[in-house]
Amino acid sequence: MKQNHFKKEVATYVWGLVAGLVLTLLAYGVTVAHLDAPLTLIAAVLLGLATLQVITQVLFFLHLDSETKPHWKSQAFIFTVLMIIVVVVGSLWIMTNLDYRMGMSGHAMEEYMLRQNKKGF
Amino acid sequence: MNHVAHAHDKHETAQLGFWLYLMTDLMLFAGLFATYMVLRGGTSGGPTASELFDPTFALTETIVLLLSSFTCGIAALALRYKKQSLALWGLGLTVVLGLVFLALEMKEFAEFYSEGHTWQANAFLSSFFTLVGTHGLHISIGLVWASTLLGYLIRSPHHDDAHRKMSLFTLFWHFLDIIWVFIFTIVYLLGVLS
Amino acid sequence: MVAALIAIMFFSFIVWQHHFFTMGAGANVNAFFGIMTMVIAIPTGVKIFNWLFTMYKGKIRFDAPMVWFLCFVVTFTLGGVTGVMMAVPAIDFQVHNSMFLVAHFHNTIIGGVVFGFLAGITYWFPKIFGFRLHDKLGKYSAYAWQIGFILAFMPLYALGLMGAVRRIDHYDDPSWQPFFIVSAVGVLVIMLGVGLFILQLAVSIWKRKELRDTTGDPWNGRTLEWSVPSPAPEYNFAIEPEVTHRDEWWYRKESKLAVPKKSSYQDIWLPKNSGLGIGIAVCAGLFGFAMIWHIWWLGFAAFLAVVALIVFRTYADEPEKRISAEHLYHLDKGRKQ
Repeated sequence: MKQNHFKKEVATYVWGLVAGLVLTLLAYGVTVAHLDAPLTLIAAVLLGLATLQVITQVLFFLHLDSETKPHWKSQAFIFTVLMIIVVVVGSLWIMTNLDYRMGMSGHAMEEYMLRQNKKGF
Repeated sequence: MNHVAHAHDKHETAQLGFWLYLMTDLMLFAGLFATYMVLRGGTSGGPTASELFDPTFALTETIVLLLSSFTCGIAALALRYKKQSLALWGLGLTVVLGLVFLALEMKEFAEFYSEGHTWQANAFLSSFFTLVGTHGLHISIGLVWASTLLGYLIRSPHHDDAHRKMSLFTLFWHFLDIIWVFIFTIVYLLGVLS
Repeated sequence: MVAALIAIMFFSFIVWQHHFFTMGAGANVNAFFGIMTMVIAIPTGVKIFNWLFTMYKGKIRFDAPMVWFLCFVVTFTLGGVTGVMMAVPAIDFQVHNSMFLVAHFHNTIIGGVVFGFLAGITYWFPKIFGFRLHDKLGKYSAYAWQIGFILAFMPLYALGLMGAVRRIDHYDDPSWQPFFIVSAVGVLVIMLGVGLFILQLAVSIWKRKELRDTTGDPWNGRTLEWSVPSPAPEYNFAIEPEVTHRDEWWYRKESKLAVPKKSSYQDIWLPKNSGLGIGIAVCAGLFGFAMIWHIWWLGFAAFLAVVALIVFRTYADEPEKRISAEHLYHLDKGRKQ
């Protein structure tokens, strides 16, 4: 009986390992294949694969799904992920916006301002 | 409260406390990732990410770390089912794989350094070494921890605390692998593409 | 109230760019963070009304913690109002880096943190140390702080709008002079408040026998921390409390619940005191200090010491001690009568 339980639990780890390997190799393949697709699409696919792998690891290695009530760990995890999205996306947005406005040379900036003036603030 | 229930309670509390620490560590890495993504283009005339990184090398590192995460999980599982020798082998293998990973990373860093791509060269390399180096530092600390734990398991494998100590280390090690998945994707793969 | 707290917590994570309105980001970025900063005022307003309506029709005792609390509400609200003004990026461009900003953020930090902190210290002091703080001196300190604060920082709002920037070593506009003088007088009054607080601490320690809290419930409180003796015992609660009402302790006092039976006490296991934590903390502190000042040998030694202590901690069995149910019962029995 106990031996059975053990085998079952080992199986989750093996599945986690297999899924991890497959997703890693897939991501590697996408990168080195020199696909004829827009860079943003490939980047989105790679980030999707990474997210998928994190989900499989959280389920198969960390077993977050089997947590008993009141689910403190899952709550903390979801909150942290939310905050990370806010901080990372927010920082990238602010900094690219800043780069766009501050990184222009004098001439480009002048044209940008003229264009903005035509639009009317 | 009897002593067994008390030990169980202590285990749960320690797990939650350590989990919360991991969440704060996740925030630290998120900050470093954001920094890296912002500064990625700031090469100041030096080589860009796509010229510097070798995806196959990073793939090797990733697989080594993934395997060590697996052996570490198996070791914790074996300890829970009182299979002492399997637990020792699993943890020992984790240490070996961790050392291999660390050696690979050191080799990469040394190569960059010898070619003059130090972390003082430009903003891109500063943020790269800080992000990947912080992960490497975590791995080093994890290796000291794992070796200490190995000694503890050999000395007192049946102690109440053995299971708790092992499960905390497992959390830490799995967590480091999750961080590495993002380093592999964002630093190496996306770096090669850009 | 809880919803307002959660909302503030969430919005506080998406306002950080309001520190950098003038750095050159685009209108979209500034507008987003400006609006989020204004929006956070709504749940904060809800909190302020929470506090006001908690007092409304209540029987208010003007003990020192209450006086500190009132200072907190008034000052913090004022700081919040000027904060909403500065959340408008257009206004922020005008008052950026000026005395207006200095006044605003002292309004929130002193009003929101210092006054609240001092109210809390005064309120929970008996629970921590077993004796109350001198009430009159505490009130005098609060009054001095509040009056001094108004004198010191209100003129700064005016100065900021008149064009005075922060961190200046001289100014050549004589019309600013009266404001700066009033502000300086305010600083003296605040210093009086600080002195009174230190005096309060000294007098309270001197007269700690008279001020001793023998009941564990000096304020006739409503919440459970006041159900245990002061100072709080190391095991906190002799019996793990089961909460059935919002103001559990108040409910128990009102309904005169019987003293717990002897059989409801259980043994408590506590970790024994250990010096390892302090040792690790001191070595880690030394490590940080050494790294900042590039004292490599000290950094190396301190780091090794930290690792050695942690490894030692792993191998050392964690000693625990048992507090028997019998003992807990007798302690409680001795107190309740």
